[in-house]
Amino acid sequence: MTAGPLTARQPEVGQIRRRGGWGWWVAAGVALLPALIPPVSLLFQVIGTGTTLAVPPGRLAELMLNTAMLTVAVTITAVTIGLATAWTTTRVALPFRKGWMTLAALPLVVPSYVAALSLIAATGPSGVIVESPTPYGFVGSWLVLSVFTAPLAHLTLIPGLRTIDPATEEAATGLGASRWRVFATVTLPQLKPALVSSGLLVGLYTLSDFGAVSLLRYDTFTRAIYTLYRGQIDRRPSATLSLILMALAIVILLVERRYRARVPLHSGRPRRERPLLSLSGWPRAASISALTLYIMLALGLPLAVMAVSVFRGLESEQIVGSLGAEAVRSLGVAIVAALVTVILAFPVAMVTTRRPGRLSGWVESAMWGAYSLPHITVGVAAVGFALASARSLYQTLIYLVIIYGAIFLPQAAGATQDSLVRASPELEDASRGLGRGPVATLMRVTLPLAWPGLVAGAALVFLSVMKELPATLLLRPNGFETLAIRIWSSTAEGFITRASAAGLVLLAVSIVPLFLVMSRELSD
Amino acid sequence: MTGALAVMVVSTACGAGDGSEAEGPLVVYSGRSEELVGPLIEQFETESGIGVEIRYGESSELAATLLAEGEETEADVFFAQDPASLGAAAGLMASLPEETLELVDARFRDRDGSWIGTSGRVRVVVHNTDTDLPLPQTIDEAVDPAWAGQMGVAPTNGSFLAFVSAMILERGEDGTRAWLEALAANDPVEFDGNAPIVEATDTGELGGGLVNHYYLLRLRAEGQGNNAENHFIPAGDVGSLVMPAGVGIMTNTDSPEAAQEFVDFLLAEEAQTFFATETFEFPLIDGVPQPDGVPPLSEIAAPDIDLSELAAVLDLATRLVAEAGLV
Repeated sequence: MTAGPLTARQPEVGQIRRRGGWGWWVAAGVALLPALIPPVSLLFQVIGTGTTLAVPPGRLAELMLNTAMLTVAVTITAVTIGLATAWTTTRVALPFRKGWMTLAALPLVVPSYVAALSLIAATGPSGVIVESPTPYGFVGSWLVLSVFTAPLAHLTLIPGLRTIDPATEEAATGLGASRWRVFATVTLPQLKPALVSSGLLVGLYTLSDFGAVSLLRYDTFTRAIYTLYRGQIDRRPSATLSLILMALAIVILLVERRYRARVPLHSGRPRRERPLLSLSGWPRAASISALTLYIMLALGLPLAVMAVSVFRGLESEQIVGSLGAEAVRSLGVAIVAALVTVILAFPVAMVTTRRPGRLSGWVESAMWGAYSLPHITVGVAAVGFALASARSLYQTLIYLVIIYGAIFLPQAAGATQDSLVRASPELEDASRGLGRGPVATLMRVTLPLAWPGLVAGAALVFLSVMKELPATLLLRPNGFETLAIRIWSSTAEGFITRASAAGLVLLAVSIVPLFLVMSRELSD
Repeated sequence: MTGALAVMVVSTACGAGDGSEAEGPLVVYSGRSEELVGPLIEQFETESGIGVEIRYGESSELAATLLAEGEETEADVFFAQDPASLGAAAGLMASLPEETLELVDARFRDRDGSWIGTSGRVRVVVHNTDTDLPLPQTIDEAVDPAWAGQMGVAPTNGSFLAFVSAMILERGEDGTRAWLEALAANDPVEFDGNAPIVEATDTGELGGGLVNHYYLLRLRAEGQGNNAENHFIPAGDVGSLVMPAGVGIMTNTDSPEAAQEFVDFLLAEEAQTFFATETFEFPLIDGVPQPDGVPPLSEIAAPDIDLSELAAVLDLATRLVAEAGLV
């Protein structure tokens, strides 16, 4: 096979890659420590107190099957939707393209129970949109989770799409391939790492989701775990189930590693600017309609449902009260967490892309340590660890941010990895060869290459932290109430007006930083 | 942009980092949500001059947290939504003085004086006013086949689990298992919480549901709830269980006087009236008007259950509910 732009490059035998040295390994190790705290603490907890199984084995098998079905279905549809929105908003010349790109990412900030509430309000006998029976169970959960986790794929795929060398696609077009064929045979294979990252992000998130499946009454593993945590003072049954769930996640990760195709596609040529695709006629109308439909479902619907609730409540003279303090806290901690997580993710991404091998494979799997666990399990394990070994960190903001970093590390790392994988290591070699030291190379060559991935990762973590609830409840300092907590406790008490108002503020407050960041950094 | 970011970071760090020193504000772990008791806490702070640092959460989670924190807990007071959580943490709580305990009927406080009820919450069968279904006269009639597919339950909810725990005390493990299996076989409609059950009953989606009495009253305050009504089971069984919210003082508190002042405040006329008029719960001291829209507590056929025993059977209750296939 002659070498060419699309051939995978392997390190040549005998050639030692001195890229970064073992400094990156140490940094990656430190960065992984938070992600390992929850699973290791959980293990210790179970070893220490023993296991009990509160759920009969038949029911356990049923829960596993339900969980598996939902995970597979949601992964397929969410990644497809995310790919469509990412492609349309990066490649096609649309009016307000940057706006669409941001809007398509925003549904991630809607907590899944709010999303489920929107579906329930939109259907059912008093449905706002359609008077059909509410799709409880598998169908409703699959719909809600697909629509609202698609941004995970959308944000992960955008840097990937941007950094594909246009020359590869133009070459195919020049050889006579149709647009669809170019997409299928040239674009998609180069997107494989990003697609796999997206799939893992969506799939492992679905494993851990509670909000949607509880409202839509679909019995998954995580639902049983939450029930046991909430209903019992004895934490052993819930810890036992959490361990089983962790084992399931590990199986998924091992399968992914087995079939992983690390295809670093460096073309070695400087990237050219890509002109946007100009559509006309029905393809253009179809693109705009599809995007509009998605935004209406994923943003318009929850917004409308919450706005109606607020109006109805205000008419009945319900008082909403100030949400300013909660908004500031949510924003503050989400921004800090996004920055911290991205800093943690960078060495992990460097190690997995620049030093491929078995050890970096383990690093890559280890970073998912806390992501697939239900957040309540992570919270309880983190509390246990703090009480046992780090008492001064207990109930502090620093620890809360560290645990956010532990949970959401894969979101930041996945996007960063993709940017780095696409960028040729020879650029860094060249910089070193020209006499620039390691720090200068890092600042002037590596960071700019990784930048789109870092930004996308930061955006993902920001949105995820804004809506995070169970871990926040357990780990926050006394009095640190966030918007997500406000929504949850108002809903639980039946104060619907207050809950909806807090939801509207959550959306409003998230859109501004997101838009600023995405329009500056992710659009050409 | 960076400047604003720095300000936000510093303010969030400062705003929440204090309060872990020994002397200082009264630290309250509250299983009652901010929406419910926030204004009351503020009232206490204004009147007493004592600063309160409050940790909101689920009662059962807070109880588990207190147990995990152990003797070194920073908490001074545990203000919980249900007696099972209070009972679980009772080992860490000090006995309240006699004059405090006498304010409330012995049915609504701990046998050993570790905690005292602050307001009453009663189990009801909420039902749609247009329904023809027979209103249950005993809790066993609630699983009558006539109600198949029409009865809403929230099996993961703390109040439901407290209710099942009380049933274990009333009729034993086997009797409770039989009732739960009858419920599961009757095609119950399961929800995550109580409020959606009442909403669904109001819209006619459901014939009725097993909830707490105040959700309907709160729904009416939001402008809805006109097609539903509370039904109090008259038989005197656990169908009309009274579950007080309650409060206790931690043994290792570093502010015992402030903690006692807080407990006294909750049992005084001002707070008890607040519970009746704002959260629609039953006041537990004498001489305070009952809430509108429900019969007075004295007329409700409450069962004779020793609430101090609930905590011991809570885990069993959760297991039975899981084994019946309801979760």
